[in-house]
Amino acid sequence: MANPILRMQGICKSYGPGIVACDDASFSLDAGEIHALAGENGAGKTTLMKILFGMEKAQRGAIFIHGEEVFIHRPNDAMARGVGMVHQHFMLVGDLSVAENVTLGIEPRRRGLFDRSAARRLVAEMAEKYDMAVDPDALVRDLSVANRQKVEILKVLARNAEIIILDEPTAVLTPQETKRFFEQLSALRKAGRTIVVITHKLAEIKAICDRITILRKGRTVGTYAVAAISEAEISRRMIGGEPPAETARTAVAVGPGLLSCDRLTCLSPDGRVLLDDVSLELRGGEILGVVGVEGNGQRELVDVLTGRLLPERGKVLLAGTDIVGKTVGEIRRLGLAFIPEDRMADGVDLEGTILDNATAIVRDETAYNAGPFERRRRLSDYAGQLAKRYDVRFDALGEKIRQLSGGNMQKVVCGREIDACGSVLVADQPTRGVDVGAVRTIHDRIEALSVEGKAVLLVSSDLGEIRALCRRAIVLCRGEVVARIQDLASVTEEELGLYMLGLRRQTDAERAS
Amino acid sequence: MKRAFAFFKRLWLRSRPRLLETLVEGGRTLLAILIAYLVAFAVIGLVSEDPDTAIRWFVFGPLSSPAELGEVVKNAAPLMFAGVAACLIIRGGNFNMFTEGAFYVGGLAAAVVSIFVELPGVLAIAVPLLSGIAAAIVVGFVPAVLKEKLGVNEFVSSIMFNFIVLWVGVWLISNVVIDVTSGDNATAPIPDASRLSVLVAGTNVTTGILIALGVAVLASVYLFRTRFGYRLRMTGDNRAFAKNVGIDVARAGLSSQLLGIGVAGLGGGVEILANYRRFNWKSLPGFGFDGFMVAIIAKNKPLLVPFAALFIGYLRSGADLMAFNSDVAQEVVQVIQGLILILVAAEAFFSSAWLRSLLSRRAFARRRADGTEEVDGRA
Amino acid sequence: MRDILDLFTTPAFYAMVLQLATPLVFATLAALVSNRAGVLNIGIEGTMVVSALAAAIASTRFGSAAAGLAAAILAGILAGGFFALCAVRLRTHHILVGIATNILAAGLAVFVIYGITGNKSDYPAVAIASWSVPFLRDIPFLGEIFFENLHPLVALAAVAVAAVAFLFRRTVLGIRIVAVGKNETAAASVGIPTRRIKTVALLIAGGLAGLGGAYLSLGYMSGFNTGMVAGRGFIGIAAEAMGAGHPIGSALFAVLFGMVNAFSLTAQTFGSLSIPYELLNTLPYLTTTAGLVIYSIVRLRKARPRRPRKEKRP
Repeated sequence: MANPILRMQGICKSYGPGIVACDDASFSLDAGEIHALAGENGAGKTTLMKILFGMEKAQRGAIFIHGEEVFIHRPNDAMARGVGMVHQHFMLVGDLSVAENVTLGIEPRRRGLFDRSAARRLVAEMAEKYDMAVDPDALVRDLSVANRQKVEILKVLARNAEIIILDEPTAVLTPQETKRFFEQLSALRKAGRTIVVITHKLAEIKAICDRITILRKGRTVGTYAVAAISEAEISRRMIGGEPPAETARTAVAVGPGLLSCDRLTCLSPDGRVLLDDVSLELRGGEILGVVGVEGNGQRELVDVLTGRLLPERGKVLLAGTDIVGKTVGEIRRLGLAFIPEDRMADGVDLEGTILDNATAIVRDETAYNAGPFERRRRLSDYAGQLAKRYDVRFDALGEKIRQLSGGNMQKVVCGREIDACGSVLVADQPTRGVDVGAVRTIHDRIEALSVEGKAVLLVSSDLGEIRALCRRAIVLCRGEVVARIQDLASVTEEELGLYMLGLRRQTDAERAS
Repeated sequence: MKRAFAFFKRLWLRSRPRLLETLVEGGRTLLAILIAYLVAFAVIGLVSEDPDTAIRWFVFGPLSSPAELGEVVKNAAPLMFAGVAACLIIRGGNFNMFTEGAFYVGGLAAAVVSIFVELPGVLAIAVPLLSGIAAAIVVGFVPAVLKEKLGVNEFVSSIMFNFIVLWVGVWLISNVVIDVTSGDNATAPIPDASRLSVLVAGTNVTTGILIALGVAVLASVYLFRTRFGYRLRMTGDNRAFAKNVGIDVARAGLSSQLLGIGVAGLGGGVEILANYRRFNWKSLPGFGFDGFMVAIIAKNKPLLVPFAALFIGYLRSGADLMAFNSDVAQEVVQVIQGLILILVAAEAFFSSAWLRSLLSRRAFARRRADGTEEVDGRA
Repeated sequence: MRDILDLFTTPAFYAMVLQLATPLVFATLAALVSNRAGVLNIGIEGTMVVSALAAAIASTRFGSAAAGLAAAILAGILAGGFFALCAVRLRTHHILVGIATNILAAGLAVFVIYGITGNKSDYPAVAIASWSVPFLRDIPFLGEIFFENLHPLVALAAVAVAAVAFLFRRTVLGIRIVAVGKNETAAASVGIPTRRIKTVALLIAGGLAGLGGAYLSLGYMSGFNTGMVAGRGFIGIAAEAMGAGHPIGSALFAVLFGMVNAFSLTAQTFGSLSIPYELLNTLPYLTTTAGLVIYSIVRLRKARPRRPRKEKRP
């Protein structure tokens, strides 16, 4: 009965020691189905599909299409084999029209010139066939997000893709647009295409998909018929019920409030709600966890707290002052330190030395300056001690930081923020991309902060990390605080999963506590 | 014996990355210079009736006597100022070309102040130079602040200002501060008290070179030993990172441009007081663009600028001598300069990253059980 | 004051505007094509220098202005190719390549002139003769401006504007250039050879700049002298920026700058103004800067997020 059109087996991919994206993952696809590929962030689903599409290379494993082994080295190879991918971040040229974007690279020609009417016809025909109405002459930059997604799908269809991979397709759609989108998916299926949807939205999986494959920590947990599995079960398999690797720490005496947010609301430029009335309070000696699947407002929360994003409404009080509207420098001087999520992009200066990077926060302090001059010796000592504390292997402080391995660079960034923290630390996915050995060190150091009476806001999609460090936590889903948890140890993973995936929310009374 | 071997191996492994990096960078620069020279020789060979003489003058002329060496140093001085100026600007992440105009304005202001304001002793030199710096910064403030506040492309706006400054200057020396007895559109003679004295007898080398070296050292100290220089460098390297660690990037960017322009203004003042009787510049001296070239060759390190400047000065002298003594025009030196600039700055030209990947691939590839290769954890 | 206002009603003035605008229009188009491919081409100035010289030399050597024109275009394309080699293949920062190109071009020009003539600044040329178009030249006012003394390259400039617009609207190459310039990853992801496209764009830009240089030595003046380009390449870049990438808009800004240039030149003859000619010469550059400032302000204002509409979720 099953007619596998695609089979991936034994896929292994790692980005360095300890950072495993796919661990003997497997995946098989039947012709004509809509198949969900689900898992938490970091579970490996996007990487697996990128390997299929030729944007990443696996170290081990094999891919079979129509029973024949294929070797895919780049996107062109995948497209030649009938695989198309619509990425989470669209690959469109805003200044060009829909027809031009769809036919980019395979432009129809007439007498040497671009045959615009042929392109228009192609777009119109496909739009008709797959129920995706879009104006072929409209400029892509004028289109709504939902329509841009249509263009991306049309692009893939124009190249006769049999297998269409969609990466988090409804992440940027409103509920109404999502409904329309499902109708289009049905039309595609009816037309004989096979669709893979990478997602973590359970309701949608239930609404439209035939089967689901769940990945966790790079491994395939299993493949199930959607009709035969409940949402709660999916949640359990995705998020897992493993005991935490570290036992929860002993409680620390809680001090005065150091940071609080009052009804923060943030909107995107096109009107979507990113943060919805978020309030929280952070007291000295606490490590407050912010739990949730990525993309539900965590980034916006961190950006507001660190002065990089202005909220529509709401206040943030740090050391008694409202920091909304203040510059990053001013906020830091009030005692806040933060570990940015995308450390490689804006947490390090790749051209700089280890010394430059490690001492970035303390440069202005009087202890390290004598008049206009820096105190080199003291800065070196500081950096040296930091490196030792975080077990960073290096040859000389004066060498460029990019000579270090990725994990070591991360340790430098985490270390400099943790050690320079005045009163509050905002840590955004602090141990992502850090090798296992260093995770322990960073956790210990974060704990030490709370013992000193400082406060830590820990944003992480790694539940094990949250459990190991936090007692209190809030759960963000779609920008809202759907749960406030006073004692993490008493909440099961399943329950957390339900909150994270939007299947349950606390009553207002529960949340007010 | 084994112990010693292990020790040396460890030492070698530890210093290898940096040593390798420095060697590769130095090698690339030398290679670029070599290629540029070869091209120049080919051009000379094509154009000249007597290429042998021409090349001999070009390569050995500047080294032939103390007086000639002095010319090299004299030519290098303004390039040092321009190079340091460019270092400061590039390190801050900008490409402000107003160093050309700043040089001009600095010279003009220094000349005018020295003529019209009588001052005793060392002030006769110091005050005009300071006026040069001030004038350059005042005018250069405009394109710099336009970039930081409004995002105006500072490259184009600064070049526009170069032309504006030039025409205003020409008007001034032709009409306002003109000395009609000079027979030229020029100012009155600069008083002796303001002229920089000769440093090495028998040459044209003045104390200006000391000021230039001093500026290079100061700039290096500023960039690498003060927190202000740190902010400037971080802003130029990665603006997002600088913002994240709390640096005021607008201020850092502005200071990078203004400091560079100030140094260029000083350079103009020194050049005038050292080598000219009157101020009569009717075209832009050309040091601005050359300064960027010097800075690139010096890898944006102020302490290396004097060496790069001396090299370019040597090139210039060689070209001048060749022009004087043979039938080749000195502009061939610009061909060399352009080529060196491109090759040194080319990322894909024997780049250290490329070489490293070449080496590491060989050294660290391992074969796995299924026959596939694994390098650095990637296939 | 009177004579200044009269200036704006004399056809001769506008004819002069056309002459001054033509090299700027070519420079602007060159900047536009490069920019669309995502490369800021600072080397247009230098390209114009070598092309102007090539035109002068070839026209005198072969005794024909047409040869000069061909040489200019060739020189421009070669310069564009050189830029592409350095910026795309060797991956030198494009601003540095531009600086290097300008230095190289200036030096090469003097070098070549010296090698041939022994002097260092001038070279004669056989200019392209202007046309006097029958019938059209008799149209009142406009006829005198456009058709009485029409230099073929001025007409070609107008054609070039149309050609560039056509390139980007109707040809596959044009569409690909835009794709590469705006979103290189997207273009690469559909298999477009981005390096090749950039190179082609730079070659085209070089040819356009070459035409600008040709006009300078074969029309505007009859000969080459160092310093004749005088920043026109950079003004072209500024005009392109203000035209926001539209061929016609950018060309209009180029004409505007030409007008300022014309004004500063003719105003020197007016006793009533008594502004010295040097200061008048600063007008084109001042206007360009002012234009850039206005453009940046407008762009900042547009980028400021408008009040977003609030969307309620169920």
